Amino acid sequence: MIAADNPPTPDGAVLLEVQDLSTCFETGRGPCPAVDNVSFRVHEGECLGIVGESGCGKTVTCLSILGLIDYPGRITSGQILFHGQDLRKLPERTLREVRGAKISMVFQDPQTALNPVLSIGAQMFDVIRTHEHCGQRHAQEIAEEKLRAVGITDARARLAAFPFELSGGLRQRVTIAMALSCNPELLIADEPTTSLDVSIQAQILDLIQELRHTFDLAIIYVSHDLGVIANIAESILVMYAGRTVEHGPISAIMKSPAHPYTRALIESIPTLRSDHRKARLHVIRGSRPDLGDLPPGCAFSPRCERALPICTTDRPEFLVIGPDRSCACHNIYR
Amino acid sequence: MSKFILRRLAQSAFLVVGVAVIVFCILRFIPGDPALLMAAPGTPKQAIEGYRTLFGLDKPFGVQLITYLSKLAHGDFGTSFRYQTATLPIVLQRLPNTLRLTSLGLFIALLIAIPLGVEGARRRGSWIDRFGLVLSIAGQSLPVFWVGLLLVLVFAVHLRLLPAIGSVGWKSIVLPALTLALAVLPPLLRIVRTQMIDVLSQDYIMTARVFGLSSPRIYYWYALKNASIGLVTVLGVQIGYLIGGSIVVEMIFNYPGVGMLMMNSLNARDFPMIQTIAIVVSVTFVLINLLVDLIYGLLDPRIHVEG
Amino acid sequence: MPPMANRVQVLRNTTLRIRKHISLTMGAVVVLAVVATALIGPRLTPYNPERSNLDEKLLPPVWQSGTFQHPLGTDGMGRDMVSLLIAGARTSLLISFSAVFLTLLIGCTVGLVAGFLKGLVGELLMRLVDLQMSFPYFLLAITVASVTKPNLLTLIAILSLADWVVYARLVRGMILQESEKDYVQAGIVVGASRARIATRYALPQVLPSIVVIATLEMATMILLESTLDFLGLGVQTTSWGVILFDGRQYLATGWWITTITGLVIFVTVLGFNLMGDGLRDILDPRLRLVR
Repeated sequence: MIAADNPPTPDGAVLLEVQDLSTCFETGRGPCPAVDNVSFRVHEGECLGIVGESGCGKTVTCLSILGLIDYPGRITSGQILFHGQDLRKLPERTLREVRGAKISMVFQDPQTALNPVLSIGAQMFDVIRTHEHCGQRHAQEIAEEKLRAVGITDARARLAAFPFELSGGLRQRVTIAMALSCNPELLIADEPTTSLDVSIQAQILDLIQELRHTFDLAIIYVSHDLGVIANIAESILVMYAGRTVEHGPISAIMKSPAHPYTRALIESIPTLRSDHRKARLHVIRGSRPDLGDLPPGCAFSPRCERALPICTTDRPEFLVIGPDRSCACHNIYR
Repeated sequence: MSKFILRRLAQSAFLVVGVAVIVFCILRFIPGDPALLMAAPGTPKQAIEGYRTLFGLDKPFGVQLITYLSKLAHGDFGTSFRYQTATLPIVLQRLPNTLRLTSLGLFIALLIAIPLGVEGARRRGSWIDRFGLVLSIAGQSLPVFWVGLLLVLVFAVHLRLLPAIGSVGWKSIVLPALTLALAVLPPLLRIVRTQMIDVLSQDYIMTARVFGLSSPRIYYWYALKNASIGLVTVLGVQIGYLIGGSIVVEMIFNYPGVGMLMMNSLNARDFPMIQTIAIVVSVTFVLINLLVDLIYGLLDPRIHVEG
Repeated sequence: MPPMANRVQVLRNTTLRIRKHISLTMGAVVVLAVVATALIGPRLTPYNPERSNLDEKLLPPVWQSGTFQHPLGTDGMGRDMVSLLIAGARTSLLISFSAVFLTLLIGCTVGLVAGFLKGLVGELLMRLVDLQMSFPYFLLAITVASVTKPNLLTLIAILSLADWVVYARLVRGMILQESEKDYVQAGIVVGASRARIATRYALPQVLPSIVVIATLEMATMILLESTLDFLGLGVQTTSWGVILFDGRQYLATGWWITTITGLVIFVTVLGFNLMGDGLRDILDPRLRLVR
């Protein structure tokens, strides 16, 4: 089940580097650190998986990269280096040129991600013509080409259709096609298969893999499902309560996770065992953290089986613990 | 689609006939004799009897109704008591004036409501948003006739910029149109704003931003097209209020439209005219609502499925 | 959307709640002030608003070279403006309140019946609703008003035909919705009569919405009533609209009659609207799209 087609290319250039990113939301009860000192790197052509429970800050991180955090949230610190250039320092107009053309995104729910009153074609043409500055004819060619690339055969007919006329899987293919219409270098996929039927999930995953090779894409794949990530990513970043807890190559982490939370996630993956009738599903005890009211020290400590006294007072730093591996824990598994 | 139109036309025809019958009945059940009212004082009794016979007022109620309906079916809308000529041409001559007035009023209202609503939804809590809300609630509380009177007071009496009465070119339509616009502005502003707020929280707006579309395109095309659906739904009802409001406005500004004709006919007990006006207004209203429904179908591709 | 959206909602909700309460309190204060003035006002003013005094006609208000004898001036017949306005308040508020009450009764009854007798009767009643909506009510109102030259009661009757539809739809919708719910099914199983189910269970659900609509209806009714009076189609006794009707001819010479009376109507209606808005945001935000 654990298979990464291409091992990471350590000598591939760094495409995106996020350093100490923090995004905070002002709520009625006080500031809420949705993203807290997150750092990671994505190389060209690499697929990084970001894993964590709902609400752990994965989506906010992605939106922060694109500068799409609205009031009452704002990015409070950090650098977002794309090809070495800090995206945070760019004016909105330049940032708009990056969005869609250099860095693109696919969302979880294709049902709501498309404008219901405009045809597929109209929406795709808009995106294409915003970035390519070309005529209608050329835009149509590009759109058809991209639709075919995602496996949609009667591209021309589909362009004239409206979102409600398409099935879920087809809609998600369309959103992927839209995201790739201007040949971005980095694609952020925010749980693109979560709201689809299981059979369609596999198709879309395969599609993304394929497109990755065809278009030489780097991908940030966000999911709460470790099983899915294990299938597609080379390296993974585990997040909890807005903080990074572990990072490293997928094979190494799956074999020997360092952080108790990562280990618990791996153990939670249901597997078919010979004694499955007697076995129980592994559950992480405790409940989800309240980002507005985190305990001092390690955010996972209330639920951790390996918690030490220091875990409740000192917040662990995100330290390098091995070649290409980092972890934030006082009591890592060795 | 055409089945839909046919069905609606049939429904509308029923409604129009229903309105005609109801108005007819109302007019017959009143105290006061129209023949007596119309005659100059001192007219001999025979002449008054003559009027009655002429206008068929002496026959029993049922007969009158059936005569009326059958005449209608032949396109005969009756003769005005006041003008002594056919009613329909007079009404149709005034109709364009009222239509012009109401369209201008609606246009001005939308011109203000849409940008204010979009910008208010976009920047919630900003001064634009607050201004819009204040305007909305103040506008809803203002009596239409008071606004008209105030405008007359300020612009015609004190400043002498615009004429108070009459219909001399474009100047005479400005004040009444402004008054109407102010009357219908608040509900339009509210619905644009509410709909926009709802639309802006949708995922597809985030998608548009993610793909780097420009702000004007996102707000005034992507978002507004969706918000317009709700707006158009409400438009039909608002046009009803507009028609009602135009009566008052026409009275204040002495604007020669259908509204003023209606008031004068009511005062003069001119039954045929009143009936004709009711029918014409009803038909107009129904046609406008049909138009609104068609626009609705154009905006939202999803409803074609139901036909 | 992820929980991040929830936190945004929390902030928005707090600011919204403050605004609601301001609306509600300001509105309530205004309404109470007006009602109080209407009730006890006549004892405070020395003038009889019915009696005219042509020697004192068209006196301007006090800030415009008038005297404190008539702080808001007099009208074309020499009647004191303050007394007129107070008398007008009594009439206008009385008519409007009665009309709202009557509308409520009619609308809720029709809605209840249409909701329960789902068959032919229900359909027929809803057709009636459609008929009402297919013609601008105002035209119908002025037709009836002009041919009947109404007194207090008939005017109330005419006004009550304006918006009963809103209540009917609301109540019917609520009943249809609730009748699907389990507790109603349970009630039927236990043997409760439909009337009992209606009054004990369904009606309380719809009560907050009715309160909101009724408050906002007061605003509409006051406007409607004064408009009819202004056109000369309403009552003859002094009401705000009648004051404006009389005062129109003095627009140039006695502008205060029109301006001040209209202002009073505006403030009162504004009070009801603010109250209604505040109530609606507290009790039932879903109504935002109804009105």
